Amino acid sequence: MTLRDTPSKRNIPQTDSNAATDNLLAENLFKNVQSVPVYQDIDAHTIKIKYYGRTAESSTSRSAVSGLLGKQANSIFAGAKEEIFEDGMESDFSRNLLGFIVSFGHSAMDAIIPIILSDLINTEVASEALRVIGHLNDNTTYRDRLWLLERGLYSASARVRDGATIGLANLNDPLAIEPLKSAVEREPIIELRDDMKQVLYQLEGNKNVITPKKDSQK
Amino acid sequence: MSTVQIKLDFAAWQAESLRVTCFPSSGTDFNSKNWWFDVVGEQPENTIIRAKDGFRQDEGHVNGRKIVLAIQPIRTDFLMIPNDEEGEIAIGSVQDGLDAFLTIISRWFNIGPSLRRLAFGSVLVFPVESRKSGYELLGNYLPNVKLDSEGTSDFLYQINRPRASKVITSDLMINRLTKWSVLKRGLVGFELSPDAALATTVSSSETLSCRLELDINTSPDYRGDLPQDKLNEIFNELVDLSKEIVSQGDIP
Repeated sequence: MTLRDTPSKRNIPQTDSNAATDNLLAENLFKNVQSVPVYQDIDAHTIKIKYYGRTAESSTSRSAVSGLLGKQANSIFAGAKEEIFEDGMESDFSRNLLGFIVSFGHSAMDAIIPIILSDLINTEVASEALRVIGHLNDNTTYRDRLWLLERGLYSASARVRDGATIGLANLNDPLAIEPLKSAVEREPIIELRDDMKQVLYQLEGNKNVITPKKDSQK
Repeated sequence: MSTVQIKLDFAAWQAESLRVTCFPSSGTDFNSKNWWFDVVGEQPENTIIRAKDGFRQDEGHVNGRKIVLAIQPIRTDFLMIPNDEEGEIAIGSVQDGLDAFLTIISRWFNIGPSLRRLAFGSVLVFPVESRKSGYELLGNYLPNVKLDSEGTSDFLYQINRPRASKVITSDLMINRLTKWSVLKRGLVGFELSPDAALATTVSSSETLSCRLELDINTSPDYRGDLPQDKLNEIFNELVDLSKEIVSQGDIP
């Protein structure tokens, strides 16, 4: 059998020569995750992290390694099932998750969002993920994380809705006021509804305060 | 080949792919099951569903062009791509592809969810005879770059030049991300024989092209949803900005 003229776009360098020896494969990218010094300074709103991602900040194209990033994301969440999370304490899961997001930016969010929103995920892990991503100080993924936290308010799981509420409290962005108001109206659990109201009051107190960082243009 | 001194007409470029990416707002709960039928008017040829990931992909041909509709919770992508099963590596004239694409997108805006962000992406190519002529052509589009067309290779220039929207004048910025390069492409064939222990590659032809990747998108920093009744206008603005870059090059 002869397969002539079969177009092969993959693995052909996107340049005009064969000079490059850099192998931009996911294995190498993942090494960056492991080498990222995730926490340099930690308090509620100032986790500063170096960014090693390779995609342009303003890009909307999907990563060429999105499938592999999906596997990496699944691996991070699968490893979290055995962990016990304590309020305010960092965990292996939170470290891995934040490192992943900071390293791969939007592509990482594209990979983790379907997992967190999936009905199949362990709700305690999903809740912890939402709490954690609200702490992250990373402008590149800010709007993706805000979107995910707002979306988490629609979860069928009260635990996940609780995690989203805490995440939004940590993010402290008045942009979440309307989604939270809507969530308060829908919320059937009194204690959680009260928590949401508390966050709502917090955000309304910040309504006229828009920090330059949150509003910076890319 | 003689040195190219001028910029090309928009229609001279070939489209390798076109993409529209729509980012739904967080409060929108949508059912995408019938989107393909609603915009194309017939059932898709193939559908892939990964329930665990919340992923659905419908694909088929519209007027001979391959269209893919890929839906994830955070984004919906419409793609126009070459018929790879027929060995195509481009979808043809960018203008023709665009006209067909715009019709589909416009229909979807009427049935789709509220959006917080919108993007128009395209990969355009123009065949050249040599790296030198490719660099000379790129040089005409990149006034801020001094290109040595004979002593260099592997040139890649990526830049974002954001600009304020003229449709939504209240602080909507539009990212104008472009990537310029010269691409060498090869067609690789394999001979497989029952008698041969290993497959052998067949000698391949190589072509060179100027390559322009455009990713024109509304900024993620825009606070709020894009007005539903302005989606067509915003999208047309993204397309017009793409055309401006293609015809005028990397300008502020």
